[in-house]
Amino acid sequence: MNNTVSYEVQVQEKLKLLKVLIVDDEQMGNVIGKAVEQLGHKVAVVKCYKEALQKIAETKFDLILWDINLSNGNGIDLIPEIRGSAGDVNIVAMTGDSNREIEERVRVQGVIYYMIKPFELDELNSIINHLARRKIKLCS
Amino acid sequence: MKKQTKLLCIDDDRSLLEMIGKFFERLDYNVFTAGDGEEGLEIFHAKKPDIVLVDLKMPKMSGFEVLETITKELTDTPVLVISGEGEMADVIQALRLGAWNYQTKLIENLTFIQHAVEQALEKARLIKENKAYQKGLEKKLYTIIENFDGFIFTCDSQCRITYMNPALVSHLGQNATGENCPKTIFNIETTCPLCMDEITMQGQSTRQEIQSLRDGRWYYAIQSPIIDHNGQVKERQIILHDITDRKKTILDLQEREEYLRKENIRLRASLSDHYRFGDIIGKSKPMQEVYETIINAAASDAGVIIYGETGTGKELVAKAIHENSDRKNKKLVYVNCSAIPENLIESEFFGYMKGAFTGADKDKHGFLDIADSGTLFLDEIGEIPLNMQVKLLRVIEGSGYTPVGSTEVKIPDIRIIAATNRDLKDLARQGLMRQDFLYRIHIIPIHLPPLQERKEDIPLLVDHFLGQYDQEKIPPVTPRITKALQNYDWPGNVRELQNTIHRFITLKKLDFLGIDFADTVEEEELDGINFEQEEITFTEIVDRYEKKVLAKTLEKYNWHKTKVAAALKIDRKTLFNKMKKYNLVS
Repeated sequence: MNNTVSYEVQVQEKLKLLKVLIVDDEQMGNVIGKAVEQLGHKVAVVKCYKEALQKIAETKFDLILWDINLSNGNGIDLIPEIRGSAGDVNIVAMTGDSNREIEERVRVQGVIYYMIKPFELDELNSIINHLARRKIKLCS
Repeated sequence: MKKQTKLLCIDDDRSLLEMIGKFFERLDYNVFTAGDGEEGLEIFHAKKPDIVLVDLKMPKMSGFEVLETITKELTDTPVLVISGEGEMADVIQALRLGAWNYQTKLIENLTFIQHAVEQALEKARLIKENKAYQKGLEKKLYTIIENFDGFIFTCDSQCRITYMNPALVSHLGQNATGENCPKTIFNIETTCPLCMDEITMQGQSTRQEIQSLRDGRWYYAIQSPIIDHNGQVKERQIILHDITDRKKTILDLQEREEYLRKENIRLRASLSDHYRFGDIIGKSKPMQEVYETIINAAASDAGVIIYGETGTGKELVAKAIHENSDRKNKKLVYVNCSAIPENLIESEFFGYMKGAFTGADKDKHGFLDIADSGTLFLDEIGEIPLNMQVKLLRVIEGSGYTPVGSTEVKIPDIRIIAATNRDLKDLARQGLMRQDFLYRIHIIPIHLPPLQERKEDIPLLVDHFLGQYDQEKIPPVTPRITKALQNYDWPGNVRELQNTIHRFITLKKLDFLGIDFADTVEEEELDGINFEQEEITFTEIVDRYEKKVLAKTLEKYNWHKTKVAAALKIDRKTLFNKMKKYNLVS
């Protein structure tokens, strides 16, 4: 019985494993950040690509939620750069301005998910819980 | 000065004639009057009036005869008839004969007749203008078609030619109007691609390239419906542009490109000592075998499965295959099957249509749509859920898929390159992978060796990764470091090596992450030695082992010597001596 409890605690603890970087404008970034934090993960929110690249160089994130439409740089073309430097990081590309051409440009960069804003939090939760579970599986 | 309107009034009632005449003269008309039909026609021929008023009942020649004569000669001149009251049968007859309007004789107010005259004149003017315009247009079009360099012809729904422009007539050497179109123009016996075209008869234009069997030349054919005034398509017109030269150039270029591509692959295949393929680095024998398979895979369109541990570069292999294949100008779409939760995987693969569910206010195209005519790279294919395997299998077998919220079945043309670090046959045995799905993707297998099995490539890889940084920021790579890199087992393979070098550049020291060596070191160490082949003494083995234990413990405790000594339960002095002996310096 005790064993079960401690296993569940362990799982709970491990579920908090993900380090998530949110790259979005201030308002949206904070909203998403809160939501991800509520799931129990470690969250960093930055609002420009420059800050994001710096963060990525310092910390190994499990997941990056990357808005491709920030004003201070080309959000799509930076994706391969991150994948090159951060290895097997999971990137979810987010955009409020989707069309076929943009989707094409993003899908070939190797993001794990293409998310069109506005999205339901359930959609994001699904992805995060899935990645958390996968990480536990890989660790155990 | 405005030209006066000429009005002719024919009536046997002199007083009425005078009254009308005066009225219109005051309105600045040039009025001619005639007391009977014969006189009236004489004046009509002599003066060519713009409008005629004629009484129906007259002696000698009736108004009907006058009307008939005028409308036969010049239908554009408006004729208004004047009739007695209650003679509606006559009026109807007159209108049938071409009268434009009528007025009863009891003309109480001459402005009625003025109004009728002005209306008729305006109508006549518009008709005249319209005719002149149409004539001009026809002339212009005719000139264009007659002088058009290409060929224009029209044919009916039975493929009979109804018109040919002079250029086509002279090209064929005959005017073949009335003959069968494919036979005459392209020398095609049965149905030609143009005639097959039902779309044109349904009202749409089509464009296609067609080679004529008559002259062997290529034509660009624009086929458009000719819509008649009832909105029906009875005929179609075809414009032919000779594109033989252009087509020939394109075909030559394609052939040349194909030849060069094959030649390129052949040449590269013959280079036995190449140390890289695309972005893949390595000159070891296992890698040469990988390159060979990549070349074969690129030349075919069959499904590829790449087996390899994590970090061995499966994505790079997929990229190399795609970039050397016929699909190289199309998209290579990367999918990590393990990263997508099961409830989202269908919309991610197949896309959804705007309005498919709440919140879907834009279309999502999905992996399959974006990869259409290109390559789909399915990484970690072993993680793909069973129900998705069924759906993907259908796509691979050509039955297509339906985006969420759509009724349209899409049949994409996709080449699949899958990758995994798992044993798929084992997954199939466990029931986690469908046998039929496995057979579909497992056609050309490529086995990527772990870095451990190609340690001779490590220096090349190190050079390659170091070369990506600013050379001035690279700390000196000492022989000790080279050796450490060479001796390490790299469970995370090339990616771990890449990350290690990245940390080496940024932290200025070498550290190996991701292993707990204390548990595994004994077995690994003994496994690494081949007693039969290597000329090695017992002392050397022990030394090697001792050095490895020391090095790893030093790494583990961040070169804190007191801690290391305590952990290994040896004297600090002994530790120093051994570090010196084995040249272990932080």
